[in-house]
Amino acid sequence: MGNKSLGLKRILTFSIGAAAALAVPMLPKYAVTLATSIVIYSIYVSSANLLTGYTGLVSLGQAMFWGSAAYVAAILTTRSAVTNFYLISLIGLLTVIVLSSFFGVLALRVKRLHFMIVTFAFGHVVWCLAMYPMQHITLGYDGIKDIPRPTLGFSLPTDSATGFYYLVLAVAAVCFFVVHRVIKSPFGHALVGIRDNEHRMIALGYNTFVYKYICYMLSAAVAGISGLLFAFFNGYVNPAELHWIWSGDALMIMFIGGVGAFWGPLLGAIAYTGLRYWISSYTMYWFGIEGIIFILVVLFFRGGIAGFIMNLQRKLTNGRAEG
Amino acid sequence: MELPIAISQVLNGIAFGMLLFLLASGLSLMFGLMGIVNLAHGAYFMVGGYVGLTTFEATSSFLLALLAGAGTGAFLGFLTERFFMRRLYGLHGHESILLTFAISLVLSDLSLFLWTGTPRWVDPPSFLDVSFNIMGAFYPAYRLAIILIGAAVFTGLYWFQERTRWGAIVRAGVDDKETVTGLGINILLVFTMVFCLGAFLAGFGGFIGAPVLGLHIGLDVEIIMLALGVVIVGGLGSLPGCLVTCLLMGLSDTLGKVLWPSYSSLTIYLVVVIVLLVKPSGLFGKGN
Amino acid sequence: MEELRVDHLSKDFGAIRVLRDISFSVTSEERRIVIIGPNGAGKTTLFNLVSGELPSTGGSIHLFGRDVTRMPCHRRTRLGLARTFQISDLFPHFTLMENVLLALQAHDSCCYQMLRSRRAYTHLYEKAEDLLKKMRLYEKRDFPIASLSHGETRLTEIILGIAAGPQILLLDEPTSGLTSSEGVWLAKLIRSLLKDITILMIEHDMNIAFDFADRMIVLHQGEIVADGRPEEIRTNPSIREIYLGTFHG
Repeated sequence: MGNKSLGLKRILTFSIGAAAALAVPMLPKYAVTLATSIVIYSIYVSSANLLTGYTGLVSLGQAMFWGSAAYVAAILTTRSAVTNFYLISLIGLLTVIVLSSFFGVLALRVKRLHFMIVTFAFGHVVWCLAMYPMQHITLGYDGIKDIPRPTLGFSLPTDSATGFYYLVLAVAAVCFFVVHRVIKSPFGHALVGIRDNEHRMIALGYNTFVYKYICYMLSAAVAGISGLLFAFFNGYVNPAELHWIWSGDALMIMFIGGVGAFWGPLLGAIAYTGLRYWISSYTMYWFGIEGIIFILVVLFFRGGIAGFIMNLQRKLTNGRAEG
Repeated sequence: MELPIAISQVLNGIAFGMLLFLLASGLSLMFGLMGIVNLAHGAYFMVGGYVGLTTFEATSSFLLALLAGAGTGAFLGFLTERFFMRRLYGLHGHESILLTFAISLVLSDLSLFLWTGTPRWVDPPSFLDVSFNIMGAFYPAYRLAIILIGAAVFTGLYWFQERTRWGAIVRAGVDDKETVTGLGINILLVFTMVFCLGAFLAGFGGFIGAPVLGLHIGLDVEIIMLALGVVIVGGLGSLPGCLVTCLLMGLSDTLGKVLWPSYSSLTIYLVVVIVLLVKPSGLFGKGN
Repeated sequence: MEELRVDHLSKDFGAIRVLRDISFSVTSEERRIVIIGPNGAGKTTLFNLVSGELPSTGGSIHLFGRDVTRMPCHRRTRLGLARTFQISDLFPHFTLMENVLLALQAHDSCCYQMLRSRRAYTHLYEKAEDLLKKMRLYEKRDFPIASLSHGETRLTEIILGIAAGPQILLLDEPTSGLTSSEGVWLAKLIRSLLKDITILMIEHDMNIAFDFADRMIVLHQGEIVADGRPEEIRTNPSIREIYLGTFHG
């Protein structure tokens, strides 16, 4: 990877960032709203990508963190006088970190497939709790409505689509920056080592449990942030946000975008949201079609969209070298 | 609770457990042999039921409908294994699971398209549309038939697994695929066979359960979750263990719904979680 | 100084006793100990017990005077023990350089660093380059592991083992899969480059084994049947019988 390619990557990142910040808000309102949801989903999926793509831990429990944080935001804003974004985020993050520190210790005791099933079971238990025993708080099946937009302490009007979009963009930038740093760090290098050969990592002297545990909590925190944003965005939260199907969706979007690729989640979120929006206007059978798309990706486009782009790039640069 | 009601509910639980067994046995075998959690199994159950329903409405023959439903299940299982799962053997297990998840989404929406979202019911065959008096409870003969059929299927599977050459091959394959292949046995054929058998039972269960559970969109999700719980708790590779766990799950789900209506789903999964953490290989599984 | 001591170590797999009553010790004066024995004697299992991959059924293991019998695998490495594998166990998606960096990072203070890029830690890169140069693989440092020859992967396997600067190195059949001349070359390389490390090596090639060893331990059916200098082992009639017996049997 030469300096030229690195420079190209930086230019690309910068232009995408600039487009997102400057060009999108000029589009009509429905497009801004769509873009907002894309960014929120991409944060959620990147949390799954950190855990699954980079560390190899396949979890069917990410929705638990998304949904819990969403409920925290919903409950705080509708039941108490708290609307301050920073405070709500703090409480939401704390909730998610407590949950993940507890569940992580238990779930990480088992490997691979069993881990997937355990996270699924944990997620389901939390869903059940929200549906029935905690109904007086979560309002069960009906969910919590009329969630107001948060206040930021300064004059950014989060009530407007554009204002809220900027908030989401800012939070996303922070999240992506942190995830990027982690991936490039020695810690991130070790995570990929664990994914590819945990046995050797242990033999080399790494305490792999600690690495996985920290990664699990970090991934939960990122998922929580996205869930928080979603609650404000959607104005309505119900137990579907905790359901394991939403965890499964995160994995599918991650695959479509490209597992273990940094931009995979964003690409996947764009594809997913765009396709869903477009296809849902023609038919109500979105889930079946999502399934078909996923099957095609897994069978024929194994690296997802990101992999496809990288292959293309490689073919172009090889062609140029030979030509 | 008075005795007649208690007896009814216990029998209901056992009948439900038998239906679960039809689903979970295939799932458990697939997991043990191929390391795959087939999330589409619930969809085979549901689609098998629906196809059986349509056949029954067209021909009025319960038996024909049953065969059609089971056959559909087997066919779907064959398609899944032959054209999708086979390409992913040797790769990460989680991709296979997500693939089956995607297939279940497709099948679910397909069912919605073909049979709409209205819940449907099937009447049991007329000769079984009677009730027996069991200690004061008037219990439908059809549900008793389900219990008997479940026991018969268990016996058949057990005999197959323990007493036949094919069964021995499958058992050996669960323990050590490489050696079985080295012995010249086409392990891929064995995989396909196991897949089809499991899916056959699922489709069978879907239609046979239709007079009891009904048929509705979302049945696939509900039933696969319970079946997964069974496979997790009941451990792998143990057919008797699977049966016992199914009966336990069936009983706790049914009795739970009666005694604590809001919490039944929760209690089952809490049990699953606790068992998993104490003994990750399940109650009856052999340790890894 | 006593570096490794194994007392009455045993290991059962279910009803099968794979290792029984294994006792020996290794001091810092001895540099090259070779463990030989027919297949199934329990040699790799012994390594697995010493490195901590498998828990022992009975007996104890002491490393540098500390009882490590119940210590998890990754912590034993920090005491100065390292181990390589008979079947190369590398990181398939990384380049050679990245493999070595990962091994070096394990015992560095930066191993939990989450926010600074790993490129900032140039001392690791320097160490890695030194190591690769020393082991004659520097030119291949940016090659993916999959493109290395078998001999080069066996060498990489050893590099990963010595990266953290261990005092004792367990080499499990380092010449496995190599031709006999390649094996001789590798053994010579090990002897000349790893002078300051105590090496316990499992070896099948008798020429290499006798040539390399200061001391030999012979394992048969889970027990130590001989432990001494190569000359003693060579002339021991019962050892001959063990090996000749397995040829006939």
